[in-house]
Amino acid sequence: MSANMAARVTAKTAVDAFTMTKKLASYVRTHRRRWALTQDELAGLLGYETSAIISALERNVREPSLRAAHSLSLIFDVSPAELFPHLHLTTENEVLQRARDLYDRLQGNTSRAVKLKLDFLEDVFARADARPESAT
Amino acid sequence: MKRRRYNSVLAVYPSVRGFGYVLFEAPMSVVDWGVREVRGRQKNQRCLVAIAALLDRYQPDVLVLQDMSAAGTRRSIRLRELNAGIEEMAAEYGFAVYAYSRAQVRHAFAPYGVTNKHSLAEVIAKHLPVFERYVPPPRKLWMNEDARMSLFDAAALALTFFQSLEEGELGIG
Repeated sequence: MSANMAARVTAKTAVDAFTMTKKLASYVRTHRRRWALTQDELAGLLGYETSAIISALERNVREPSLRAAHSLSLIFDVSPAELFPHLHLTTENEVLQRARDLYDRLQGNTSRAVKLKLDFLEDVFARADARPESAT
Repeated sequence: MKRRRYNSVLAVYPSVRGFGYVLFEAPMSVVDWGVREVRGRQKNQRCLVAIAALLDRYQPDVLVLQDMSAAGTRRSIRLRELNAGIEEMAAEYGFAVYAYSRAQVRHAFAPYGVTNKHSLAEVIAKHLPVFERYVPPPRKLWMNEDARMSLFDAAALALTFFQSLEEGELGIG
């Protein structure tokens, strides 16, 4: 499974070396300016007293809290993955790596529970593979 | 042959008061934009510092400038020096640089009935609503050019680049 996936990724990387979408780490600034909001105003909408947090999120020097990510998603009607594509991709990479490790560790065990886990993990890999900008 | 796709294109248009810039990820996808006004001494040096910060921040695949060469558009000596400085800086960073003259931009927008800068700004704002609020009022004879116009000039350069990419006729690279 892992070897097949690696082979697919290698092939995809070779073909799409030029067409991979390079995205900014944070699109908060783009959406904020799209609606002519100041950093202070957006900070106010998020419940912060100063605009420092907005500046930090825009420059990607700070990761958003869960509450901030949800709030921004609600305000701009954009998913957190679209607002913070780099963070999303990094998280996806890390989770998939851990899932692969668990998948490898479970190999050889024939219990029902393990079979269920392996099926689930294969589903996780398949879903990641199906995503257009998958981190796999 | 596989067509190369540029994922981020930064266009910079130096003006008398500073410069305007627009960052695109696709012809209809504007990511960042702005007008930087620089006053006082060492204008070019301070403009270059601000542009270097933009290049550092966005690491664009392509930088689009105005072609201020002898065959291109005639601009003041200071602006030609600034443009050359930006080109040198982009070469140091290793970004691809393309340049288009005013005539090439006008030609690219000719199908939209663009006759002057104001109509160019209106056409761009119509296609990219994010710029609607920046369209300055029509300029009267006694008025200086509005600083916001450099934003539309920068956008026009980037859109000309996208169009030439489609047509396979890239500007001076």
